[in-house]
Amino acid sequence: MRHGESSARRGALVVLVVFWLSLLGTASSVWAQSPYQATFTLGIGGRSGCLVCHSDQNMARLTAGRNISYYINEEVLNSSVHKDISCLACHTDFTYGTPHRAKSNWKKVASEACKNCHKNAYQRYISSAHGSRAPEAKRPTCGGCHGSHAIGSQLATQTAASLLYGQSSAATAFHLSGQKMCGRCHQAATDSYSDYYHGAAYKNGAPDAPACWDCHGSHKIYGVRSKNPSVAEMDLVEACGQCHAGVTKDFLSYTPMIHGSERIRSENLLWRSVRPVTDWLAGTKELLMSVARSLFP
Amino acid sequence: MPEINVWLDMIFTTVFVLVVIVFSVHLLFNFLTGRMYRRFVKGEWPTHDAPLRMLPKFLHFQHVVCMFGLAFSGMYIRFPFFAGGRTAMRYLHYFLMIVVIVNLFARLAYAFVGRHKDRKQFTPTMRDVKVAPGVVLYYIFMRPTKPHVDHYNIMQKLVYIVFALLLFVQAFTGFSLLTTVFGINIQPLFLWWTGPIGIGVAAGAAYSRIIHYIINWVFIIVTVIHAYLSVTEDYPAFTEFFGFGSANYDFSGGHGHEPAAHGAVITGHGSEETA
Repeated sequence: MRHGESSARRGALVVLVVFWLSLLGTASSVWAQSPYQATFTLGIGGRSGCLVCHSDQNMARLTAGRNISYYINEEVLNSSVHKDISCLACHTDFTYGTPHRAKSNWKKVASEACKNCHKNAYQRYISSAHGSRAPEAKRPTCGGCHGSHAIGSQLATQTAASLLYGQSSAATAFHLSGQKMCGRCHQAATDSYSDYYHGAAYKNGAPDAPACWDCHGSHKIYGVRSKNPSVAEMDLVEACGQCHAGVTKDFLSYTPMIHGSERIRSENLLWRSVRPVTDWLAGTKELLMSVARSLFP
Repeated sequence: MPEINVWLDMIFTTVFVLVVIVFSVHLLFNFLTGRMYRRFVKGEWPTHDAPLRMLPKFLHFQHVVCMFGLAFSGMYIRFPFFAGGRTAMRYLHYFLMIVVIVNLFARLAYAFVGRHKDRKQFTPTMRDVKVAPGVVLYYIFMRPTKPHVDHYNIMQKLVYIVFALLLFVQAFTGFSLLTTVFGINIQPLFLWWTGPIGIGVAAGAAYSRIIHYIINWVFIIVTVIHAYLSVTEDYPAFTEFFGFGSANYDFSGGHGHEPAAHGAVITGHGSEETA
């Protein structure tokens, strides 16, 4: 008798567990599909449909501990050179669903999208060091240098330029952005670019001082050890000749200064001789300043 | 070429610092020997027997302002020490350069032509050469008085003449660095010499820039010394040159030494002799 009761209880318990498990399974499958079941119905021909959501400044998603904003500033977009192009012209992998859950390889998508209109630039780029020799993970894409939604934007570049250099022209701002743009990957080269009339002037906002690409080229850029370099011994006459008329070998003897001024200065015999004095003066000045700060806090 | 540029920076910066140190010591000796006391406290300053005329004073004032501006903008062009100033500094440099060149020709015209031409005041003579050691000894405190034979001493005369000549060289090398003016390429006018010696125009401009930079430092160093000596040796004349004072005048013919004409008598001239 006892044995019969016990079996009945165990059977009821199993039924109960199976019931709850099935209920949980159903709930989780419903949870996976919701909350949006609707087909994407907003207009995507222009960009008004996209901006229904993306014009919200609070639109963001927490991904891998980082709060990534998906806000698009329509004012900046309107001042971009791409203002008349629809969002889908660049976002070619759009999934037609919300939220856009499919993972987008946006770097690759961006390059592929630019190619559709800028074929010549793309052809030069893919044969260059940036397009073919740079490691896949570090390979610069079009957007990496040219920007994305604010591309060629008068508003964005003017704001950045006025903040950075007191310049008002978007073209000048782009010209002066090389230090930041190229310096993300080539920091040693941008740091060492500090000779009198080129690097030092460039870093202080001289609009006529050469940007990185004025000497090294842009889309068809090659490494200095490449067999086909843009800036190497064979092409220096041409590279410097863009600004300096009548370039000869005599003139090219200046070129070590362009990325080597600090090194040449530090190796100078007189500089090495007076360096202890200047260091001592700097130390004395610091000491006096600290005394002054303690006296007049 | 890169080494030349760095060497020039190092040499002239060091020389400038040394000049400042040397003249600081000189100022100290001025105090220790009592020259400063006699001049600034007792008012024993050199006297002038001819009035300082308005036009040279104005040209001098204009020249001072322009040279300060040229040195500042020129140094900025070589060492851009603040952001966003290159275009403005270049145009400032061009403008001041034109004023200085006009000024130079105006001063030369004043010196050689007209009623008040004063070129003789700047012409070195044998008497100047004879008293030159005495002038040097006076400035290094080895002699209490300065030999006086003319309006300017031999060191002043030489410096002013060299200064004028260097202004021409500076203008020439400066123009050779300009590529286009109002759309016209002017470099062939100023870099014609690169052809015969077989270097390109670009290299010629680079060498011109080196000369331009050297002369710029010479001007800066000479001007610092000139300003220091103007203030310490004849402060009243310094104030009159800048319009806020008056030099000491003595039109009686002697102004501190024998009443004979300038050049006839070699005698002492300085604060001590009038004491």
